[in-house]
Amino acid sequence: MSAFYLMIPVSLVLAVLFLLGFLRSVDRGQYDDTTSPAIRMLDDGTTDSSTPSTP
Amino acid sequence: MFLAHETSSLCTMADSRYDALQNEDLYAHLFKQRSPERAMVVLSLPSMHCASCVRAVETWPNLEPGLVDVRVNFNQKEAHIRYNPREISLQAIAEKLDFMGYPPDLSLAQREGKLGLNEQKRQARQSILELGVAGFVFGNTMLFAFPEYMGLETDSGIAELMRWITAALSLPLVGYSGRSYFKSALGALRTGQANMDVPIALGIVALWGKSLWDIASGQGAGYFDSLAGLIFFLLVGRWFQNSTIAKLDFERDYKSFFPLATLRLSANRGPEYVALQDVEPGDELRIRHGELIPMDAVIVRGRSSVDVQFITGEALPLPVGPGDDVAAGSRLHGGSVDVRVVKALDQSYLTSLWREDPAAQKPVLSRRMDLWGQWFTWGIMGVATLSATYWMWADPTKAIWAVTSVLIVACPCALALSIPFGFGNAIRLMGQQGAYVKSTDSIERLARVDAWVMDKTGTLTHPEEQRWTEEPAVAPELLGSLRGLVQHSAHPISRSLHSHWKFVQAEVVVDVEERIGAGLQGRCSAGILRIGSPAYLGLTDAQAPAHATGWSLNGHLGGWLLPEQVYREGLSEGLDQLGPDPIALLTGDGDQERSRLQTILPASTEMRFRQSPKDKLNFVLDWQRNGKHVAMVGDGLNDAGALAASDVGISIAEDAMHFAPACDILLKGRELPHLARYPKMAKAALRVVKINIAVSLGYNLIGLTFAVQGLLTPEVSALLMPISSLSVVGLSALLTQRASRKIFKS
Amino acid sequence: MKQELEHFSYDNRIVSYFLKATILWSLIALLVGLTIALQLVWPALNANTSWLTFGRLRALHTNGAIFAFAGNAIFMGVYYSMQRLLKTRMASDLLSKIHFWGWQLIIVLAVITLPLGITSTKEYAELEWPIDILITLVWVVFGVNMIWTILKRRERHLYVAIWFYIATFVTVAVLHIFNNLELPVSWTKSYSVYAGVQDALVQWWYGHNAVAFFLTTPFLGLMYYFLPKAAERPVYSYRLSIVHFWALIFIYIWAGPHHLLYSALPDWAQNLGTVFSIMLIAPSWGGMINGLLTLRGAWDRVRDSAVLKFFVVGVSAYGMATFEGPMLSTKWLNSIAHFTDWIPAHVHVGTLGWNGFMAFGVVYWLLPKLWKNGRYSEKLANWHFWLGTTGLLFWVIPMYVAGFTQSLMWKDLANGMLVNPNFLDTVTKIIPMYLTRALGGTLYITGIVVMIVNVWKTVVKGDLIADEEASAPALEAHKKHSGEHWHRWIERKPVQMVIWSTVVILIGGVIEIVPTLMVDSNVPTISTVKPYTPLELEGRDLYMREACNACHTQMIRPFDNEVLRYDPTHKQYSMPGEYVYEHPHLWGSKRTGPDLWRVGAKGYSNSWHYNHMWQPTSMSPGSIMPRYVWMFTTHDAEGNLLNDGSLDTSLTQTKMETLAKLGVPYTPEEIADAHRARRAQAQAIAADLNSDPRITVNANEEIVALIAYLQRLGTDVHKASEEELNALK
Repeated sequence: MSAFYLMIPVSLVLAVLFLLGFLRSVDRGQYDDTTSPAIRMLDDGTTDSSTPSTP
Repeated sequence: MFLAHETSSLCTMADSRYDALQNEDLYAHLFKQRSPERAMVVLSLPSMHCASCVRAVETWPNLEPGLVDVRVNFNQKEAHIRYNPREISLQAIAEKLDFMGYPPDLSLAQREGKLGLNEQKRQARQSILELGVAGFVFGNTMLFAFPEYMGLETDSGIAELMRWITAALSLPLVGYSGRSYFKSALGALRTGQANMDVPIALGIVALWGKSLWDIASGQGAGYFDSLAGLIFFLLVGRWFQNSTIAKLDFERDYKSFFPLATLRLSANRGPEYVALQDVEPGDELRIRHGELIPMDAVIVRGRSSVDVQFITGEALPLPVGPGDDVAAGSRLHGGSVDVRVVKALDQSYLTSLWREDPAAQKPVLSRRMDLWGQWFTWGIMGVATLSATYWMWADPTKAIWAVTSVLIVACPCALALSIPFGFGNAIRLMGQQGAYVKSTDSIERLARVDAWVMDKTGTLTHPEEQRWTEEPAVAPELLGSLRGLVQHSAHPISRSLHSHWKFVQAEVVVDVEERIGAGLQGRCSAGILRIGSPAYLGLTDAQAPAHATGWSLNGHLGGWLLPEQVYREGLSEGLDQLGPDPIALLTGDGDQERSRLQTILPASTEMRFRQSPKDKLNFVLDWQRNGKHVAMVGDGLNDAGALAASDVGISIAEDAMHFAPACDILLKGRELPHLARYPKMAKAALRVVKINIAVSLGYNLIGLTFAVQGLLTPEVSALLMPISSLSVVGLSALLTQRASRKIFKS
Repeated sequence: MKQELEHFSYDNRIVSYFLKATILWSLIALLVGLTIALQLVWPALNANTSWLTFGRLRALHTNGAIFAFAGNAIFMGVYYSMQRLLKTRMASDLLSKIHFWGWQLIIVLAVITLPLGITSTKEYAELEWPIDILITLVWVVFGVNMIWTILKRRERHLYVAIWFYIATFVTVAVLHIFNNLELPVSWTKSYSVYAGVQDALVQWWYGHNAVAFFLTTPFLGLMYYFLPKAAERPVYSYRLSIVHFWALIFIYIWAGPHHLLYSALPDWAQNLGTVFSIMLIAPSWGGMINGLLTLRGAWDRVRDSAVLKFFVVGVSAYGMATFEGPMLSTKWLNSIAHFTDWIPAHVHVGTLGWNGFMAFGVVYWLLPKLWKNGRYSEKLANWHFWLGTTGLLFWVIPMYVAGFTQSLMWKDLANGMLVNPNFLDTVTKIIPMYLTRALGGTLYITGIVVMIVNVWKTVVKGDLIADEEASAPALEAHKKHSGEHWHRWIERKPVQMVIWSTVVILIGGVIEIVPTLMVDSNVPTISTVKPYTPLELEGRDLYMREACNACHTQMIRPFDNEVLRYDPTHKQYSMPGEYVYEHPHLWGSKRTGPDLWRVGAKGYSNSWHYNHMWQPTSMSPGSIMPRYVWMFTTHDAEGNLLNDGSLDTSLTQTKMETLAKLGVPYTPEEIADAHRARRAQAQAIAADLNSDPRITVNANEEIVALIAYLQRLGTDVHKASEEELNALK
C-alpha cells in the first residue's frame, strides 16, 4: 500500500496550502464583516440600466 | 524554550512601547481627571477575555501602591483606573498592564474616539485564526488517528508516517492556537495569583509533553488527537462564552435604563427638560445646586463651586465662574450656573462614576467568592499533583489522563460567573421595572436588608404633583419672574413650584443665589425677588402659615405659597408589604402631617420630625449599631449623609440630574408603592446565586471524581467546561426570569 | 480616501461561447447516453461496429457528460460570475479564448479517440496521455486567467463562490496529474505507474474527488452566485457558507476508499472511507440548507420562475445525493448496492438533478441577460423543467428497482446453493427497467431539445451584449502587509506569471512521479502469481481497448454468494497479492455482465470463448453483450477478405519493457523472446480451436490473444498452496 506514502503527504500539502490561504485571508480582513458581502454581490456594478425579464 | 524567550522579548517591547507616555499631555484624551494628587484614566484593554481577567485587573490595586481603584467595562474592554500621580506614572501603569498580559491600546484611532476599535478588530481576527488553525489540526489529526483505531498495524510504515504527521501538526496547534492560555497563565502568575488559565496551560503542556515523549521513545502513538480536541473545544467554548457575555449587557451599559434629563436653555423655546442623549455640543444647560454636570462644558453664566468627589474622590469644592471649564461628573455646589456643552455625552463614563466606594467592604458573598476563586485554583493543582503521584505508583498509563482531565475539567469559571450572571440578570430585570441598581454588591446587600428609613418630602410625596395655594394670588406680571427664579434650584419645593406655574412663560432672572434648604434670591425686571422659608425671608415661624413658603419683592413680603402634600398613590398597601421589617420616617418638616401620615404608614412606623441631615445620619448609624441592615429611601439632597451611611441607599429618581452617586438604587417615583418587591427580588437572586454556586460545585465535584480516576479524556473535559459555564448562564437567566415574573406581575 | 470610479466592461462573449458549447454538448453527450441505454435493451444497436460498442461509447458518454456538458457549464457560470463578483473584466481575453478552444479541442479528441478504443480504462480519466497533457495545459491557462483576474480585482472581499472556484482549480490540477501518471508505450497507449490495489486506490481517490471538485465545488460556487441573483435576495447565512467551505477543504483527504469497500483494500482504509464519507454530510448539507433557505419567504416566486424551479430541484437533488452517498458508504448498504444499478441511479440523481438542472437554470437566467430583444420564452423553459424532472424520475426510479432486484437475485442462497446460478437470468430480469430508464432519458433529452429551441430563438433574433459596461471604484491602496511586494511583482508581469505557474505545476507533477517510481510496493505477494505472457498481455490490452471493464468486474468480494458464483471450485475471494502486476487495475465498477476474475478457472473451453465473442447469444441465449466481429479475420464466400482481425504485435516488446520499468519482473531474455513465445502460445490455442470442425482460425487473430488472456484469469492463485493463502488472510 505504498500509494499511501504519496497520497497522504500530497493531500496534506494540499490541505495545508488551503490553510495558509485561510490564514492569509483572515489576516487581510476578508472575514471582518460576514454580513455585507452577501448583500453586496447582488449588485453587478453595470451601468446599463435596462432590466431583463426577471426569471 | 520559546516561552521564556517570548517573555523577555515582551519585556523589551514593553519598555519602548510606552516611552511616549512620559509626555502625558500627548495623552490628555485618556484622562478624565487630572490633578497632582488624583488622576483617572480610561485605558482600552482588548486582551481581556474572561471573568478572571476582570478580577485580575480589578484586584490589581491591592498589590500596586499608587493605584486607588480600577473598574473594568468588559463589553468595551476598558479599564477606568484611578491613581495617585505622585506615586505612580501613566507609563508605569501601562507597562505593568502589559506585563500582566493586558497591553493597553494607545493607537491613533483611539484618539479619534474609536476606542480600541482597531485593536478589537485585530482581536476578533486573532480568535478566528486560532480557531481555524485549531480546527484544521483537530480535523486532520482525528483523520490520521482513525486508521490505528481501525486496525492499521501500529508498526507499519504508514502508521509511523501518520504519527509523525500528527506530531508535526501539534506544533502550530500548541504554539499558535494554544499560546493565549500560556500568556494569560504567565501573566497571572507574575502577579502572584492563579487564574483559571493556569491549570489549563499546565494540562496542555502535560499532554503534549507526554505525547512527544511517547513518540520519540517509541512507546506509543501519543495523545495528539486528544490534545487537538482539547484545544479546539477550549477555543470554541471561549468563543461561545464571549459572545454570550457580549449579548447580555447588564451591569455597566445603562444607556437604555437611565432616564436622565437636564435643563436645556434654548433661545426660542425657553428652558426645557431634555434627555441627556439629545444634548449636543454647543447647547446651553442650566445646572442647579447638587446636580452633576453631565458633559464637559464651560461656564457661561453664574458663579458657584464644583467638587469632583465622584470622579477622583476629592470632596473639596473649587470655586468656578464664567469661562471656567467644568468636567463631566463634577457636582455643583451653591448657586446655579449656565454652561455651554463642549464635548458630547459619554454616558458609559457617567454610569461608571456610579461605582462602589472602594473603601467600603464588599458584602459577604462577594467577598467569599473572591477568596474561593483563589483557593480553588491552587486546590485544583494540588489535586492534580496528588492524582499524578497516586497513578504513577498505581498505574502509570492512567496518570496522564488523570492529571490532564483534573486540570481541565475543574473550572472556577462557573463559580466566577455565578454572581455576575445571577445578580446581573436581577439587575437587568429590576431595571426593566424601574429600579436601577448600581452593582451586584447592591443586590446582595438589598437581600439582607431588614429595616427601612424613609424621607418624606420628595420621597413619600410627589413633588411634581404637589398642589399649591397662593395666598394671596401672585400678580400675573410677577409669575414669570417667580418661575424664572425657581428654575435655578433643584430643591423639591422649587421643582414643585416650577411645575405648578407651568403655564407661565419663565422670565430671565439674574444674579441668582441659593441658600441650601432655605431659599432663593435673584434679580428680575421688577427688582430683587426672594422665595423660601419664613426664616429666609426674615420672619419667624409664628408669623407664617404652616409649611408655607413665602416670597418677597425688594424686601417686602409678597405672599405665601401653601403646599398641599400629595402623597404617592398606593403607599399604604405598598409599605405594608415591607412586612415585619421596622420602618422609620425621618423628615425635616414639623409634625403637622402626623395624623395624615399615620393613616398612610404602617402602624408600627416610628416617626421623627424636624430632623436635620445630621439627625438622620445618626438615626441610621444607631440602628446599624443595633445590628440592623438599614435601607434608606430619600431623594439624596438633604439626606446624602444618611443615604451614604445606610447599607442600601435608595434614591428616588424623577427626571432631574441630581442623583447621588453614593446611592445604590435609583428608584422611579412611581415604583415606591411597590418598594417591597425589590428586596424580594434581591432575595430570590441571592437564592439563584447560591443555586448556581451549588451547581458549579456539583459539576466540579462530579467531574473531578471521574477525572481523578482517569476516566475522563481531555477532550471530554474541555467539552464539559463550557457546558458548565453555559449552564450557569442559562440557569441564572431562567430562574431569575421566573422569579421576576412571579414577583413583579402580581 | 479618494475613490476614482473606473469604467470597464464585462466580457460576455466568452460566456456566450461557453453557453452554446454547454447546450450543444449536453445534447450530444446525452444522446450517446441514450444510445448506450438502448443498447442494453437492443444489443443489435451495437451494429457490429467497433466504434459503436457499449464499452467504448460508455466512456464517451461519461467524459462527455462530465467534461463537455458539466465542464462547459462550469466555465460559462464561472466566467460570468467571477467578473461581476470581482468587479473586473477577465484578465486576458486571449487566455479566455485559448481556454475555450483548447477545451473544445480536448472534447473533440475524446470524441475521436474513445470510440477508436484509445483508452486508459481508468474511469473519468480514460483519455490517453497526450490528451492528458493537453488537459493540463488548458487547465493551467484557465487557472492563470482566473488567478490573474483575482489579483486585478476591484472588490477586496473574495465572495465564497470565488473560494469554491479556487479550490476547484487547485484540487483538480493535483488530482489530474496524480491519477494520470502513466508510462507511455506509444502515442496512443500507456500503462499506469500504479498497479492493482494501489492503482484502484489512487483511481478512486481521484474518481471521487473528480466528483467532489469537478461536479460539486464549482457548482456550489455557481449556486452561491446565481441563486441569490435569481431570487434577488442574499444567501441565507453567509457565515454558514464560509464555515462549511473551510471545513470541507481542511479535511478532504480521505475521500475515495468508500468506492472500494469489501475489495482487496485494507480493512482500516475501508473503514476510514466510511467514517469520512459520513462526516461529509455536514458540510454538504450546509450548502443545501443555505441554498434552500435563501428562498424562505419567496416560494411564491419559485412558482413563477423556471430558473428558480431548476435551482430548487437541483439543490434538493444535491441534498439527496449527498445523503445517499454517505449511506452507500456504510458497509451494510454498500454490500447490497455495489456493482448494481443502484450506483448509476445515485450518480444520475447527482448529474441529471444537481449538475444538469443547475446548468439549465444558469443558462435560462443568462439568456435574457446576454441577448437583448431575443425571443426568450419562459413558457418553453417551464416545459423543459417538467420534461426534465419527469425524465429524471423515470431514469432514476427504475434503476433503484433494478439495482435492488439484481442484488437480491445475486445474493439469493438456498441450502448453500445459488438460487440464480445463471448470471444472465439476473440481467434479463431487469431489461424492462432498462427500457423505462431509456424512456426517462428520452424525456430528459427532449427537454434539452426544447432548451436548444429556446436558445435559438433568443440568440438568432436577439443581439448579444458582447461587452457589458460597468463601473466600480478602484481598490484603495492596500494597507501594508509583509510579503506584499512579491505579489505586486507578479501582478505587473503577467507573462512571467503564466510561465512560473506552469513551471510550479510541472515541478509538482515531477515530484509526485519520481518517488512513485522508487518506492517498492509492499503488498504481500503470492508466490504463484506471475506476470502475463506476451500473448496474454496483448489480450489484456484488447480487453482494455474494448472497455470490457465497463460491464465486467474483476473483483470477487468476500461474500458467500459471490465466491460460490465466481470461484465454485476453490471459493477464493480476491486477494491484494493477485493484482500486483495489473497495470492498470481492471476491477470495474458495475456488473452488467458477470465478474471475470476467475473466468479462466471455470472450465470454459477455448471454443466457447471463440463462439461467445463472435456471437454472445450463441453461447448465452438472451445475452445483451455486443458482437466483437472485428477481432476475427473474415472472408466472404469467394474468399475475399472482409475484415483483417490480425493482432498488431509491433509494440509487444515495448510494452514489456515499459512494464518492466514499472516493476513487473520481465527479464531481458523474456522480452527478447517475446515474439517467439507469443507465436508458440497462439499456435497452441489456434490448434485447439481448429480441432473444432466449425472453427477456422489463424494464430495471429486478435481473438486468439483475447482467449489467451481470459483463460489465464484466476488460474495463478489456484496453484498456490492452502497454507500460503491462509497466511495471507
